[in-house]
Amino acid sequence: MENTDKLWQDMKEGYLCQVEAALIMTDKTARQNILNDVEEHLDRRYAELSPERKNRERFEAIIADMGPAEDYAELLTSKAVSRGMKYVPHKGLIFLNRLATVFYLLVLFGAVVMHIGMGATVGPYQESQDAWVPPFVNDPNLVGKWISVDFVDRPEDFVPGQKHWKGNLFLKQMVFNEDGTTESGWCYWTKGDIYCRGDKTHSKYYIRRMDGRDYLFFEWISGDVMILGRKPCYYILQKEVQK
Amino acid sequence: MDTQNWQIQMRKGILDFVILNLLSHRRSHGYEIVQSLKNHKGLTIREGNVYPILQRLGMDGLITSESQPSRDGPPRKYFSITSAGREALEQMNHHWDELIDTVRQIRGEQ
Repeated sequence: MENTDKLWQDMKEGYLCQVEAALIMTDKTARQNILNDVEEHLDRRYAELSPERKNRERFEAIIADMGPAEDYAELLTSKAVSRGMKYVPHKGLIFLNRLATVFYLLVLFGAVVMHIGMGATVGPYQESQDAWVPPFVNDPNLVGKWISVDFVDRPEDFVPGQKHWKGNLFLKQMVFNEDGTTESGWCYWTKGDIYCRGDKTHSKYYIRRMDGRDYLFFEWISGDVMILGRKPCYYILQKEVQK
Repeated sequence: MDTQNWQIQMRKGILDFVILNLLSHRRSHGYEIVQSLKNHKGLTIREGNVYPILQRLGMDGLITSESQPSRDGPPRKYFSITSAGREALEQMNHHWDELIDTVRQIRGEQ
């Protein structure tokens, strides 16, 4: 693949990730339809470019023409957010989904056994949540308030002080409590992992110190990751400094 | 007053109506709809904006879609207005005409 083709694919994937993140609370079918339509549109714009116009500036202009990702959710209205349309996936997808669920449960079971074997604690975190989340192991570095600063395709794309994501960030902040719960009540955490109810997603996280500040790299498990097997994008959050 | 914001809100408000009118003439795909809107002053929108609107109109049963092979690329998704969409559009066009008349009267043009 030519370098420009690869660059375009990366930029397109990045934009689709942004749109998907903006539509994360909407009906799955509606979200997937829109993503397919947008991808088709972008492919068409790209196909119309003559070889000499296939460059970063032109690609950025095409993405800018599409508009901010957050507009999609607003234009779809709350109807798709709460309606819960009947979703009828392909039979093959159902099979793969079930297979993935069985595999996931086996891995989860293994993780639970390992955690218990390592003497993990069982406290309010474990008592107050779904049984699918493994026992709590503390990570004092994570406890506290983190503010979203960027959203990137790959962790290495993040540069402190530079914003890769051009629109508003869907995830504004996260507050991790000492007992493995979060302020929103939507997610739980244990060392290295964040579990969210609803879609029952499991994200890995890690903290990296860059330019004297702590940054949290949080895998964003979207529908494309769960269903289509794409690589997750990352939210980057900055630790709020206590004054 | 920020008239630019007013214009944006007004444009957003009538996009469903405009897209249904475009589809009432002939079926079309998203890219073509965007190009059509670009040709009309005051209706230029962000290209991606058309897709959530088409999705919503589909969910409301006003339009339907089907994929058709394309000579110059992957299959294209064509959108068509449904009979329910035509009924809704008739009411919308009627309301629009009334609204225009009323505004003209208020402006002292009639």
